[in-house]
Amino acid sequence: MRWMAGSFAALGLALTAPATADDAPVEEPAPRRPDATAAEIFAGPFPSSQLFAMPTARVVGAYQLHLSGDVSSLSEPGVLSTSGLAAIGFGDLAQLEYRHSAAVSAGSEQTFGLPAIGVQLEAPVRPWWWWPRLAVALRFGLPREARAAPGAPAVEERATDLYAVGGLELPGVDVHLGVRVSAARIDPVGGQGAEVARTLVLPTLGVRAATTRTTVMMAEVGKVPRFTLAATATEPGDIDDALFARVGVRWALTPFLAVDASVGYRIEVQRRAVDPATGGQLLDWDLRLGGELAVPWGALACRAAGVFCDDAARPARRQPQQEGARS
Amino acid sequence: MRKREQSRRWRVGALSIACVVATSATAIAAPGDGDPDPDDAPPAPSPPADAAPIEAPPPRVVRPPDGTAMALLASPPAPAPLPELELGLLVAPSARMLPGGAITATTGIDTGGGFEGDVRAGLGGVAEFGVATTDRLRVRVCPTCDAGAVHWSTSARFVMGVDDERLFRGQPALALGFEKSFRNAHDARESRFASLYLVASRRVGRAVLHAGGVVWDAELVRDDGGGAVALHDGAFGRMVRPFGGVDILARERAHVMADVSWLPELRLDDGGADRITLRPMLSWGVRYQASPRVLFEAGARVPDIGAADLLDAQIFVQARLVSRYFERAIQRVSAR
Repeated sequence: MRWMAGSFAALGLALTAPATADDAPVEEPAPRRPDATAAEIFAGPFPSSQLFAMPTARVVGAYQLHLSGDVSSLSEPGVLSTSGLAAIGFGDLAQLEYRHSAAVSAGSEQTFGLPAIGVQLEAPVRPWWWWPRLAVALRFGLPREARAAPGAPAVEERATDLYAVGGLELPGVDVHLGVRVSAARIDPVGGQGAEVARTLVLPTLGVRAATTRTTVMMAEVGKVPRFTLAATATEPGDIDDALFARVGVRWALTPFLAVDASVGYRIEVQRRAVDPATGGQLLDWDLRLGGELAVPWGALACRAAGVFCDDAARPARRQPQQEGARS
Repeated sequence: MRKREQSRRWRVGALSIACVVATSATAIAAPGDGDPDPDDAPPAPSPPADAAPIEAPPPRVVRPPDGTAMALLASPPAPAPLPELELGLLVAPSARMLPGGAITATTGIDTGGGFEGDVRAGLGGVAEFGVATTDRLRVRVCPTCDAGAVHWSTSARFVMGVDDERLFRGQPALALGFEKSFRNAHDARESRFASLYLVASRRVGRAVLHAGGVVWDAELVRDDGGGAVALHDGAFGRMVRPFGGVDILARERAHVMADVSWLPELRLDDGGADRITLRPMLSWGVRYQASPRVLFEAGARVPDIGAADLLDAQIFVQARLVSRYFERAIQRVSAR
């Protein structure tokens, strides 16, 4: 399999090579003025706060809502596994989010993905050429009920994470390095079975490279918690970590709408235990298709109802009229 | 099990037909906003292999009622021309990528009673995503039996790559693709397959040469609990194969193509157990561009060229519909 990894690496370099700093968009938020046109409101850019699944050191802009998600196109018949994120930005420094963290549920009938609600804070430091953008996030895991098989005891899985990430923005390429300290638990439902709790330290690495004016190539690799559920009440479950990797592209159809497509390793692992000896086979890889939508709700609310408007922008627009009245 | 399999086949069939019909409707429909669309032009001679992109038609011109010779532009300037569409080989993968927003839908039949459907969409010009259903996967239910088709084998595919001359002078187009099937129930078993390939395509005069390597994996699981076999159970060398082909622009709007590819063959109860092997397939044929949106392909393929059994050859015909409506729409939105 080495040549496959080499192929991915070579293609990543190939896609990265021609990118220039000119591809980087100029940041300016959607104007919150009552007279702003739709073109101005949706002109963007709306920087994303995550790669495919890995959160980066950026947060969603103020007065913006980002909705993203993807589906596995190749899960078992009749089952689609999904993951998603809804994030709302505050003051260009924080975002409140609801997400499905990446996780692998071995032997479970349920789809993977642990729900979590959290907040991410971006350090108020302007990134320089060698100084990375930094962020820290705290996510509280919400319980999700699962069974190893029909008739097996029900348990609740959850994972609460403290996540720190740094992102270095080089010409044409962003490199993101993060670590996730995850407190993962399996709690029996109805008192049957034993509790399992583990704290895992899970590193993660991601790369985003501009390839054309509207496309970026992204790759991420990291570890995620893996829950192995007990088939009977007398057997204990287990929590450990598993490798997770994805590579693909994000295509910005418009500044506010992007499409993601990627190949992932160890995403479709359901209904069967992962055999460590054969866990890296092609048949365990998956294809995922998703998208990201940015909603500049502040600008829309200002345009529609005159609320959440940018007070600093109003005098600038009124000044010519006032001058005309005076003359 | 039989009922579930039948139900799944119906679902897959309905989905494939719906995709083809939807894409046909999109391809045939006018853009709808009155803007000139280069795709509406009558069938024009296909450009030579090294030609520039398709030219947009001139803007509509009206003359004022006073009869002056001065012409006024009645519509905004014509949009930028769309990039040239290159569609690769008949069966083997190629490094040619659809432009962003372009959609193709292919449907075909062959003399072996097989059906094919394939829908692809270009993502930003650097990637492609598609779903397909094919009857090319073969199964041999006993060691001395002829191989038959596994019907309705549905898969999804993702390809990402770079164009020619992107990295250095003389660099061929490169693409890395991954294709994986859904589980397919047949012959009291469930099968699925996956392949990862790296391919290079290079234009040489009026021909385009394609060559690459593929890693195949496949799994066959018995319904009776008799166990599973997989291609990856053996040596890695059994999973790797080279493939390639050539595409020649032989006449205006007509391409002649030939390619060699590999597909898994499922051998049931062979030597007391199931086996999976890779067999080479040879395909050749022509592609004719009837209009900018409709292409026809016809040819022959020998599913197991290694056995040199020409009686097993199949003649196929398929239609390929092209829609560039979304590509044009995205271009318009970007221009604004």
